[in-house]
Amino acid sequence: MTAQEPNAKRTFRIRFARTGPAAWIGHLDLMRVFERALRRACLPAAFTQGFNPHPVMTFALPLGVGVETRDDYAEIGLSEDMDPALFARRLSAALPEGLAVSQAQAVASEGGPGLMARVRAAEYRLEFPGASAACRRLLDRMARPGDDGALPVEKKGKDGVRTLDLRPLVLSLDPAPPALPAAGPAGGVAQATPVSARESARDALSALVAAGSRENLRPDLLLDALVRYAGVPEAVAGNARILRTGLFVDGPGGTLVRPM
Amino acid sequence: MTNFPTGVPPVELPRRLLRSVEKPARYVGGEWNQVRKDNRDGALTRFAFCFPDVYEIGMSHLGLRILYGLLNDREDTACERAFAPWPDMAEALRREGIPLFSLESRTPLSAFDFVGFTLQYEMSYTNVLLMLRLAGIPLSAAERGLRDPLVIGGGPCAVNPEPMADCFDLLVLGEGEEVLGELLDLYGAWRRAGRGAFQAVLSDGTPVSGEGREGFLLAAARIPGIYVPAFYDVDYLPDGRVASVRPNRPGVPERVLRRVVAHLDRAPLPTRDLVPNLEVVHDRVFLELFRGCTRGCRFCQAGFIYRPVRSRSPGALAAGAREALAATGCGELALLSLSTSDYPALEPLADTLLADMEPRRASLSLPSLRIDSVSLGLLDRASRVRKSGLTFAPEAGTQRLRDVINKGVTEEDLVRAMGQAFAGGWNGVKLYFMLGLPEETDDDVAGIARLARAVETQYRSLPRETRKRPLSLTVSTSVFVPKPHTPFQWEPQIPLAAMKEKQRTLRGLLQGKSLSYQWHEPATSFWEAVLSRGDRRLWPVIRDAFEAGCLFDSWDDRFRLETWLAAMERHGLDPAFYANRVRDPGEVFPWDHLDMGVDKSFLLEENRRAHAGVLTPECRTACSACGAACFGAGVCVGEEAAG
Repeated sequence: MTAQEPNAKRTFRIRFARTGPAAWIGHLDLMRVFERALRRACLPAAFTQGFNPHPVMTFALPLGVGVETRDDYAEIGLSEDMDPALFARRLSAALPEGLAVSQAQAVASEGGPGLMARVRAAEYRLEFPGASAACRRLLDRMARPGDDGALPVEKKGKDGVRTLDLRPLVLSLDPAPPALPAAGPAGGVAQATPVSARESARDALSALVAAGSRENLRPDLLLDALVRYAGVPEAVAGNARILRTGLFVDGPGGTLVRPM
Repeated sequence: MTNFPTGVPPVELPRRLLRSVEKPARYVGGEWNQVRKDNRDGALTRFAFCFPDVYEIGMSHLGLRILYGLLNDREDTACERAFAPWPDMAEALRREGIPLFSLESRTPLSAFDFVGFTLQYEMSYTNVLLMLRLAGIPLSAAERGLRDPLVIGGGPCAVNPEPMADCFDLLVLGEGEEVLGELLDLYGAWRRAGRGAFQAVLSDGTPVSGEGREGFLLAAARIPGIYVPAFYDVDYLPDGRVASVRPNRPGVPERVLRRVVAHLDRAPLPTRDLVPNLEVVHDRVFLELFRGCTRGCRFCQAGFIYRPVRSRSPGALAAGAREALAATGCGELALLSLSTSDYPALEPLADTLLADMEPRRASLSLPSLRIDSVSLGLLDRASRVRKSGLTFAPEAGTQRLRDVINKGVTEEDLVRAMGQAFAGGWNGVKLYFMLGLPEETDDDVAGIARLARAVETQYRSLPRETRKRPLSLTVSTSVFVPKPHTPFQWEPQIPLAAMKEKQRTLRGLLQGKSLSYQWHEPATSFWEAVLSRGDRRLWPVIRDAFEAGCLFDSWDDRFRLETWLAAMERHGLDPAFYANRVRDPGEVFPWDHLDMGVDKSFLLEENRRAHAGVLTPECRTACSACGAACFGAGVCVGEEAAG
């Protein structure tokens, strides 16, 4: 928890995007990529104590390998205060191809639950030929009462394979999501890779799903459900572009809000 | 005039393919400091730097970092990278019909002008074939035509590339910094002439001309340090030994002398290193202190093929370190050389570096330290950011055998150094030894265990309050592999059964809760011995083994000895001929025409002294006239690192 780290005087929350080659970086490696960018940018990152010091840094929700994102968040501890906008600009400039930071803001170290523990939902855009039609078929099935509308898929875990019903984890499905805006997220200064008109016109669906430490629906499982219950060929689903377009935490009165 | 492809489209890599393989980040590039040049019009010479092992190993290699920067600094050249795809990816590429490509621009390797392999270990040879096959490039130089890339090789195995000689259009002997530039200049002239008739002047003023691929290679063979295997004929005696190796074209030198960079401070010091996006084996910035080694340990190939010792100056190193840390953001810097404690100004240099690095929370690592000269004060200062274990290499278990191999380290040195280290708070120590050295007896094997016990006793003799954490002592053994261009090139390797027996003995002797014993798979050491002193008759064997599925042979769990043995048998060859045979002093070796600058007569004399147990002083104490003075550089001409 960043708030308890004695070396961190300040915590910055950042909003970042990752596309292109960076999408294939695993979660632990991504932390190292950020650590090196912090060093290259000469930013006053706070380090943990002990024999293996590393920067004080947490990601809101780890990204799967091969998953792109346009709206993600992390918190980084600083050993001294600085201008958040300057921090975002310098960090972004020091990140490798496909990674960009659009925004940073100081967050209070109030000692409550961290960003990671507050994540409730994530929004994914899945792009593949036939996505809209498949999405409608899945919605039809989910509208059926009782077990007829359930979406059991097999999930491989530490204790072997178990069956999981995805229906309660899917909060909403949109068969015709708006074309991706060419600009970065609101208030963004940087967009890792500009989205072309062709790209934004691709056949796509959008899904808002449960995410976080309590309940979490990985987008590849949703693709499995589309294969099983909406007739999407496996080869097509395997080639789908998976793009996280939103991450949400608990807001006032049970609403979902973006962390920034 | 032949028209060559200019705008080569990048290969398409479907997401489903990347999702089906382990660690897809190996195959997508996009690292910090990657150089991607616009070569859509095909104006630049394309050079593919190929490392025949996985990304994590290849990206740890200093040579790649040096040459990638150096080649990309040339305005007429675009250097891109390729690594051996792991078997899952190799299979996926085959299945999808996707040719092997470079990471920077995803250009198929077959569209490059040069496909250059670094040969770091013999057990990577089948991976060279894998990469060529996946790229659709013919495996043998003789099968390649005007439209195929020039397949070139370099690195330590190039000192005896004979088993792979038929694969390479040309090889670079020695350090690549200068000779690659000369080769690219020549290539540029040939390319501008449409790969037809051309004329050029080499850097030493020699005018050359020629026509076609053969004409280019003939001209290249006149560049010092370039070896074109096809221009040499090998004759054998009836018993399989080499009778002679002779040039078969006029103008081709009888012996190829290896290249050295005389003044390291004038060679570029890489600072804008590629920063991998996934964790690699050596995830740190390297600072190369010097090349070569003055010690002359008789088993060590590096100690003879990189002579003479040449150092970089402390000032240049300190500046380079600052620049490299800033340009990469790495949190660790490692001093690199064959014997770090032999750098003349090590302590002041390390203190300068530490003063810079500590505030940045970067750590300094000091590998390759000698027991007899280690400064624990320095190690202690270096470990303030990150404390790692201590590693030393006594190499042999008894003083007698250490004298045979010219490793002038004593048991007292080791035990004293360990005592100081334990008192300083270290508790993790790793000791490296070799099994099967010439003149080794059962007592020498037992001596390894005795030495380990002496270190253990030293630890227990400390007051209890000093021993805060339990001792962790690791003994690691490898099997001695006789290498070309060393005093032991005439020696047999011990048979496989004897290797296993010695390992079993040591396992029994090294029991204890603070002791652990690690050993190398003996079968791979055996095969390394076959390939490292091999001749050209092994080429069809390597091809056969590759076709039969041998790949990643340096990975113990992938090495298939039976497949290799079967391939040897098909070609009527006996592995013991290469690995386990005592060579006659007068024997012509397959590598004798490749000149490292060290005289064969010196190596033979060193072999005689080894068997007599006589030490040879290191270069700074007394010159032993090994022959390396022919380069007129470094320690041979009294040049030492100055401020």
